[in-house]
Amino acid sequence: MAHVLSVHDLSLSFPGVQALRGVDAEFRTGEVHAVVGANGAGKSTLMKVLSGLYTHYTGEIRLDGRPVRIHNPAEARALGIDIVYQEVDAALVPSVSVAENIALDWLTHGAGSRRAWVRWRDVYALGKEALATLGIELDVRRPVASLSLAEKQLVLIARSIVERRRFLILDEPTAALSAQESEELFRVIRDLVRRDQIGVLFISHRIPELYAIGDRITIMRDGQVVHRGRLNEIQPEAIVRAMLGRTLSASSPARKKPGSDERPILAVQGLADREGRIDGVSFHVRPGEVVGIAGLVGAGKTELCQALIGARPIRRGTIVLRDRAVRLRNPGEAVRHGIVLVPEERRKEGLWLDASVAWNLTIAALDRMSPWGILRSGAIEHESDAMIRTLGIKTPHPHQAVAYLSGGNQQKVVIGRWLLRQADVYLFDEPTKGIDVGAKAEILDLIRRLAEAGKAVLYATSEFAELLQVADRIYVMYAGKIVRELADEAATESKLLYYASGGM
Amino acid sequence: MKRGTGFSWGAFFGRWGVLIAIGLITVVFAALLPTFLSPSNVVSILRSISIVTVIAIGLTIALAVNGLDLSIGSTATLASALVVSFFVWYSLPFSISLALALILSLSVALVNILLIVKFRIPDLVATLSTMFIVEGIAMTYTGGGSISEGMPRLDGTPTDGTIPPLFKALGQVPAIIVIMLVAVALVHIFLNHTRYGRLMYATGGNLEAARLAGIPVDRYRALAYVLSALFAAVGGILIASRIGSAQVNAGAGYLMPAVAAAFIGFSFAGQGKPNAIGTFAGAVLIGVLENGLVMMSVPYYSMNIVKGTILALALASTYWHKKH
Repeated sequence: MAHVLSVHDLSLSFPGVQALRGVDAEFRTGEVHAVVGANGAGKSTLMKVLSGLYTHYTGEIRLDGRPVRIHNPAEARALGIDIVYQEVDAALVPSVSVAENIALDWLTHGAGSRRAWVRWRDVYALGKEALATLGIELDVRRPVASLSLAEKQLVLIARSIVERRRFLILDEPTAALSAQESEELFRVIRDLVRRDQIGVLFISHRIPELYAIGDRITIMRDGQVVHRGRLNEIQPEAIVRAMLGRTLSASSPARKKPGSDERPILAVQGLADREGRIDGVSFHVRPGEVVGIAGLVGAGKTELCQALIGARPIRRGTIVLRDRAVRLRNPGEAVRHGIVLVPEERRKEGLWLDASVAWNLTIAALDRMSPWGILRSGAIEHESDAMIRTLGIKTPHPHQAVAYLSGGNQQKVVIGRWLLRQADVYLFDEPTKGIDVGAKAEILDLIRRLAEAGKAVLYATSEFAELLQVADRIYVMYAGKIVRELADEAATESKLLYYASGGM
Repeated sequence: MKRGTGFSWGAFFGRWGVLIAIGLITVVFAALLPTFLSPSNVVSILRSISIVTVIAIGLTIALAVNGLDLSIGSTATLASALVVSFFVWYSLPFSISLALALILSLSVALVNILLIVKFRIPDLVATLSTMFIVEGIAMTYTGGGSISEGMPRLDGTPTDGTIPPLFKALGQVPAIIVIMLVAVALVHIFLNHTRYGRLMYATGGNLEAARLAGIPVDRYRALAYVLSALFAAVGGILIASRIGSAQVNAGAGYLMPAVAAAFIGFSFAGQGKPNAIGTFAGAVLIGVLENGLVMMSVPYYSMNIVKGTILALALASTYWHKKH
């Protein structure tokens, strides 16, 4: 018999933010239910309520029509609701084996917790069995720290099936997976749903994959549910419309292509790092050009970006900047040479979350705002105000902590920092990761305007559709090497995917 | 930093808890002890916290880059032994003795920098080892004993060096209080109103982001350890001038109160980060409490119970709010 998990008139607020307003939704076992919405729409908040993380809600949660109150994650799990967060590392013990991680709940709350002594045979058997059920080949004795992100997700899913959950929430599971890894995850999800009649709540920003996996869809906007229905009854454009509350113009204004005779500002020849993550990479970027680096997760894009700003030791190869070979030993030297990076892990590597927008914007350009080392608060205020207006950063005031901004606005802060520093070569590593559709368009537009202003842009991403919108030329990267160069007209999404997944 | 909009008592106490605690404790002691708020006792409290504050202010800079420096107590001991030995053993003049003692004490920072910045040893254990090493060096230098005027050298030869009165005055009121206030003010300005201070906070707040933003993080971390050793050495010199001699392990007792003061100061005015004024407030809190308890005849050997409890409470208020 199918179980039904439903929420009725659910509301929840944080100081200054109404995160959920009167949400009604219903999820059934034996189905994959896609939950979509722009950033800040409330979908993650809803999931956190269901998994027992936020308890100060009003309204009602019902399981099979019976009202339940979920006070903490353990109670959620006892009701059969489990969640796999995007940050999988938070739920894993990295130094111990796959089997122990799979058996963690079993050891702490389940049948395994009733004995004082650990029977390792049972733990390994349990791990093997769970992985076999999912059809995954993985050594249960390997430490989790050595696994890829996709494998870690599968370990968490395996953990949830050990305890026979009814509902499994997956919060943006594919955000950092390659196409094959996503496909593998989908296979596992389909098996689980069909065979074990589990209900999967699937959160994603990628609309095409919803159709590949989902049965039903709930669309959220501004803390409310704006659409509920079957996925095969709604078109992708309608989903985007419902998410945004408006239509998104897909076309980009035509732009003058830079003359191919212009001299490259940055030329890289045979670049390789010590660990072999990048291996003989050569390319060039001209001023006014957006050059794409297309590659799946693990292709070496991030490592290439790090090497280019001196954050990763180089074994061989040359970096020629404005016709002069440079040796960049640390990012400070790169910044002085005018090469800057907007890193992939925005919150971890790009921002001081507790510090204000103004603080974050000006931190790399303080030299200009501090004669004799003394900070001029007037200059800092003035420059950050101007940048907030230029980039349209949505913040109540420049002194707001960056942590309270949406992903897109946080990304604008990181970009704005380098605009204030006035660099010549801008490297972007997955700049639209975790950013909602509307803000994505703004970020892409911003990158295009940078190039129009004569800057050189290198844009590394696994989002090929976006790359096609913004790039003049595209290099395809696979396993640490550049395997193809494609001019914009010649590139298509399927071609990029073909070369990026090792096609010749 | 402003967060949220609504007023909450929890946030209010988190923000001003240290000042409220100082106020409450003062009111209670003033009610119980008629002389507690007398000018002479207030001066006495300020004097008693001045050395801890100076050492804690240096630690605040190390904490600002998310470092920890446990070697400050030993550094203070070393500086006090050096400066007194220069006067008594070598009859060096005032300014040269002071300068030499400060410069030689900074070598502790070099070892810390080598271990932490170069060898990437976690700061807690790195400075724990330098704490022992420097303690041993200071002790070996003084032959395991104290140095005071008229005492013979280690080899038994007599000394005729004297400690100049100007030096002894440094450790008395008002100089010692003025030195403390100047140290607090200087570091407050340094951390909040100079580029270097802001980049130190940036380094401590998010090392990876700071590195990728082109901030020379290793240089700022190194500078932080130099400054923390410098203030510890100044503290050591004040210890020597206060007691007019170099005692065995004289600085060791200042380490924990300094750590406590700096951590109590974190939450001051809702900053949630190491800051000079907060450190000063933390030292005042400890000083007021200690002074009052002494006047109420609580034995000195029980005092650490109270100091430790205050630290635990302060930390509880800081971290409890971080969670929410």
